[in-house]
Amino acid sequence: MDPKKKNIIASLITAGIVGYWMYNQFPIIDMTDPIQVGQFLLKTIGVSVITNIVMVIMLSLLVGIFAGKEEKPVFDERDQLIELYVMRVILVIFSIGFVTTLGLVGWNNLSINMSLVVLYLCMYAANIIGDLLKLYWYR
Amino acid sequence: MSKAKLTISNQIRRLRFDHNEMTQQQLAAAIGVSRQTIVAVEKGKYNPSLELAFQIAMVFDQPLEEVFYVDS
Repeated sequence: MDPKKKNIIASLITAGIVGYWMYNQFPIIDMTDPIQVGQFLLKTIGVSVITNIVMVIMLSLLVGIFAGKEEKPVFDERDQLIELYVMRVILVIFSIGFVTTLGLVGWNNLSINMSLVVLYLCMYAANIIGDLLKLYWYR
Repeated sequence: MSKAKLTISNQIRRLRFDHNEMTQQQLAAAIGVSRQTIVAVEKGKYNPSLELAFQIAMVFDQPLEEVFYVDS
């Protein structure tokens, strides 16, 4: 298996696990308390980093067991171009999310705590879309 | 000068077969790119940089215009 695809799949599985974790955490957290919201977002970042590392290790082991020796990773000019396109898409999605959040704060009385969560969710969605695009372009 | 988009085609597939049926993986390894990049270049879905185009031509020991050409 191509190591690039392996990392993208690990990232997508991580996004799924983190999404499930966030979904379970939402009812517990008091969204009016900025300390709890801040702690929740920091914990989410920590969980996603650790989960991603575990997923990459697990997938490497599985690929090693079932597919034999892993291909040598090659990062060429086309990969750089794909990375650039994906970063641009992520930036556009996040920018739209940012402006929408500002609009909601300004005109819909969205609290600053909730706007932080909305911004985090925008970044989360942008990363998933970016990973899917990478998977499509790397095929 | 015309600003119409040029369609660049290539002879990589034919040249690979002329060179002892070289595989895409072998060509990719020879120039240090991924097999997917060779597939994309061969199908005309990706136009390589000038450097990569010259590297491909050098593998086949051909001038650049023998490998890449403008499709009229």
